[in-house]
Amino acid sequence: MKAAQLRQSILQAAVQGKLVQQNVHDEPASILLDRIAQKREKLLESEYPNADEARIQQLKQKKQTIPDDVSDLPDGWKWATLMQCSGLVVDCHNKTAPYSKSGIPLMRTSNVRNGKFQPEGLKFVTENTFERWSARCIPEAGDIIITREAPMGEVCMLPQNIRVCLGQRLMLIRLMPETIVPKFILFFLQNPNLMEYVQDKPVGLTVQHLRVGGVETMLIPIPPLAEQQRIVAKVDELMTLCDELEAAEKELDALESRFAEYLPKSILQAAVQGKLVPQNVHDEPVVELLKRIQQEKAQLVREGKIKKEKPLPPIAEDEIPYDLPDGWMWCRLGGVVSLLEGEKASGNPLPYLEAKVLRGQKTPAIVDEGKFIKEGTKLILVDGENSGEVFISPMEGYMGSTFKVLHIVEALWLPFILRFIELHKDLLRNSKKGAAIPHLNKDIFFHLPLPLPPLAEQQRIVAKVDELMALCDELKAAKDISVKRTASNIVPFPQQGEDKLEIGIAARGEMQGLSDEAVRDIKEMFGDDCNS
Amino acid sequence: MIAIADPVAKAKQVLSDKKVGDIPALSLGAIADSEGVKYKQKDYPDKWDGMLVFKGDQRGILVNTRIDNTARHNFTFAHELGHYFLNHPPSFSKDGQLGIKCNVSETSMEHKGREAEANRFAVELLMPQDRFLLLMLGAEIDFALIAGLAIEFMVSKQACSYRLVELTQKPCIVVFSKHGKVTSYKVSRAAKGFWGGHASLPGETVAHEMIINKKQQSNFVECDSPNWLLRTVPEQKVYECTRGSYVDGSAMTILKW
Repeated sequence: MKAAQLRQSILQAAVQGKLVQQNVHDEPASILLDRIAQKREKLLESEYPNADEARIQQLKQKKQTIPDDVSDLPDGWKWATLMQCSGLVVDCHNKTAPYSKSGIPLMRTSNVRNGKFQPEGLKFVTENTFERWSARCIPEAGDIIITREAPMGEVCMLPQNIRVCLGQRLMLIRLMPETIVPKFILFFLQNPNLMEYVQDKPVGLTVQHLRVGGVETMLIPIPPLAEQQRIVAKVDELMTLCDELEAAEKELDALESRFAEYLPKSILQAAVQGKLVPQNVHDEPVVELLKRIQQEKAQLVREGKIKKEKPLPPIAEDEIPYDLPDGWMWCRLGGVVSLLEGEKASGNPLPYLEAKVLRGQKTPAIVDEGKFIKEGTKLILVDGENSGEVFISPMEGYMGSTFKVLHIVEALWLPFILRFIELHKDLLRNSKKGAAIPHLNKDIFFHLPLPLPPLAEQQRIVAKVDELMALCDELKAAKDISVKRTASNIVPFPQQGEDKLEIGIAARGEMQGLSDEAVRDIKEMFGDDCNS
Repeated sequence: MIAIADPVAKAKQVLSDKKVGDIPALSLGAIADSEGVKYKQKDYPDKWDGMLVFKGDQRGILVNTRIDNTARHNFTFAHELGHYFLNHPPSFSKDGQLGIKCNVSETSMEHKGREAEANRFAVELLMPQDRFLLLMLGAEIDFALIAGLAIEFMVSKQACSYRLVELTQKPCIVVFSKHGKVTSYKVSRAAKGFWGGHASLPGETVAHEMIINKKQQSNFVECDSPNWLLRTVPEQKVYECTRGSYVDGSAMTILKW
């Protein structure tokens, strides 16, 4: 249950006597209401708050009745109208008050929200307007204010030390001191089912307002004074818990909204720490893998494919960022990758593969010479803002000048290394060298401590990461996320069609090449006027 | 022309610039002509549905008509025009020849990338929101409405139903299945969070029964919502209706409440 719903349930339970226990020794509400009547009569006779208003209140009091068909209340409780349990119930002057630049704050319906006085957007009126608008009764701290419409049924209590003028569609309720706990009435008026207690209801399916008479004769279940105090204390306590719940909900909402953004990095982080898939003691030890890496590199040097590099320093204790699972070993990224220039070639017209082309932002130019790369070659940006970004060439072509070929030893599971570089994308981007044209900081790149799991585990990790990243993409892009459920009610269908069903009416995937007919048509297309 | 990257905005601009009539599908050739884009619609023995080919500044479109369905050809043509108008770069290169080869899925669950962008362009181009809304407003979402609008806009029933669900304010879900397995689905804005994410059509539903018995449902019937939905709909009855083309096992189910 959300905090807002919980608040409503609490308020409803409170006014139904379900929140605290009744006590037979409490003075019954009937005696309390008699006392209120006597005190009020005395007050109105003394022409409080003024002679006219006192006369109006007295006249209205005489008409207040409780219908016969009211529901039963807990022992000691008694039904009363809002006027019967109050000193004054006054409707405000229902005309738009003329604003002034400064003066007395004017309280409008928009300043009453969620049981509180909201000072944001207060307007002002002159002293003269204040006097005219408060002719029936000057608002005082502790008065309860209720909105009749726009929207109806919002309530608040006037705070201390503020002098306000009440705008239209507001009503003021002033309780007799030490008779009714003001907060009890405040909570009652916030009850979600308030309309059930209104006697003088406007007709219509979706009632958007309260009549003056509806507020004055609203039926209130009055508990004994002592019980009111217990109820208010309990509600206060529960509302504090609701506040905490609401704060937690907000935090969760904020977290959720950033979740999809942070999640991929957390997944990669967990992956390289060995926390994503379980280890398997039967996997080939990493030592064997390292031996194969060294052999492969030596062979590449012999064949002249990579240069012999200076040995990298061993990883110092203070460089180790986290403990590795059993069977894993640290090495440096430079121990398994090399940056190559690519082979110069000419004569064959091919696309020029620069970063914008590889990002799909630009159509490649066709050039006749350059550094030739095959389809599937791994390229790393070494110049510019995004140095460290890795691409896999989707087609053969000539490599852009800001790239180097990223050679990764074949003994390793290539996607694992690519994911590791992806994890350090921000570090590489933020540690570039050079002011005018920033370059990849190769020292940092080659010296990165690489946690090396057994080969089989690298494969398991990548499979898991891919699966989770696909979910992240869905989270990020699709608002409409389907949740798989283990529906026990799904009856399997009899096998009628092919075993493997492609998802999507026409799923995208591997396509055959071009038929001779298509190739011929493409050639013709740019020659003749062939639109058909 | 002003550069617009948003596929929907781009399609709107094309419709307005080219003064396209009430049935945009009839104007696809004219749109291509006005841009100097060559095109051919022909039955090729290849698996791709459409292709945008590049030669210097020139562009050409091939639409494969091997599947005999005009609605599908229209969608493919509009999709390739999408690649063209959205300035998508080529994705293959062969002998200096550049192009984009597509298997066009009107109801694909893909939500990103250039193929999805071209699809969004095609949807707005073939079924412009304002014209489509005018025809769908006030009408109950059912098979008759889908068939009627599909004929009106010369698109497939699948594409049409997706557009309806996308634009309706009412809670509604369309589910496509083949031999009982869910192949794709679309949830309307008002029904978000309700769809149960089934891989197969749930048992104990009329849809299940219809497909097993290869029957067509004539009217919507009230269903037991927990069979279909993740959440119940308080005090609301949920209705389902299924019809299928049982030659290839495909069926469409509409859920609404």
